[in-house]
Amino acid sequence: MRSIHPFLMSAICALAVGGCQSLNGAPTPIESRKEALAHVSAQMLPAAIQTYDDATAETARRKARDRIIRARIYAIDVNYNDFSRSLSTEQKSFVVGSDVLAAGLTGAATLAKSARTKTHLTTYAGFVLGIRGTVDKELYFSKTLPAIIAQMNASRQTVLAKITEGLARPDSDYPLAAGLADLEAYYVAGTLNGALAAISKEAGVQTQTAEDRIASVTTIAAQYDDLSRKLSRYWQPDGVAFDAGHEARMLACVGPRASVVDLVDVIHGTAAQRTSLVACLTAGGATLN
Amino acid sequence: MPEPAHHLEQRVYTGVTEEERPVLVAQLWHAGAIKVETVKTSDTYTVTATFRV
Repeated sequence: MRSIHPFLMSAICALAVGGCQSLNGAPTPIESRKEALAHVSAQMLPAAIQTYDDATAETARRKARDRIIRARIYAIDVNYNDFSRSLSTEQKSFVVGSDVLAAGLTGAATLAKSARTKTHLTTYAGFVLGIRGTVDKELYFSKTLPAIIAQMNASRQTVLAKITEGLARPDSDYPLAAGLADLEAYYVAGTLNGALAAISKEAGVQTQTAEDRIASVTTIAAQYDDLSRKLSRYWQPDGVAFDAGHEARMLACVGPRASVVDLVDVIHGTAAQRTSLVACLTAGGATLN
Repeated sequence: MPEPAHHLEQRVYTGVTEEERPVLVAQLWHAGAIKVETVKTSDTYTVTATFRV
């Protein structure tokens, strides 16, 4: 019985050190995650998007867009800060706690009188250290966790700069859909998988250089006439959403392997191409207003 | 094993009018552009769209 006391002592020490406040590495936030998210909950509801969709004036659309995107940036930041803080604390608590527990078990084994107890305690200590090594390596990426957090911060800043640049532009240049897509990238940048992918990407410098290479530049002298307007209205009947059925008909008329970019070029390119496209659509029964 | 290299393709639309600009930009985003930049040049715009190919 006396040989069990050191074991209990070491377990208590491990738990105590694991739960130590100084291991958090950051002061307690002024409000909880739930309280912080409540400030922007209204902009997360479908009604906010509906307000944006219903707005027709550029100023109103831009205002609604900015509110939604800024609220979501804030929500992602709150969740990210909570995540990165807990990640760091959990790792430190686990590593220190398991080391103390293993040390306690080894010390207890030395003090134990019974040979059987010594063997048991030494085995437990080995088991704790084995688990610590595996969990630290697999879950916390050992000592690379600070580097991963640094990568997450850097990637998030890069995407945030893109979003901020977008918010400075009119809604017609940077619609809500583009903003939401960037927000998804902003969220992914703050995940462990996103950071590991970014690190792997940076490791291949040559690949990165190749990725940035612009393979071709095509210049189109834009022309926008009455047929362009008709084709654009046919493609976007309400001026916003693209009609998939009309798009399929237009692509079929442009060519068998035509892409959406080719269609854009026809609408904004030379008049002859537009005349041909309109003739094809009309022959197929389409009505262009 | 390095990832296969991705190339970028740019399409530059010159002489874009004020009326045409929002229509063109929306259509370019819809076409899958990863970046669309608009620069005002005298009384028209130059719109540059970047696509990943």
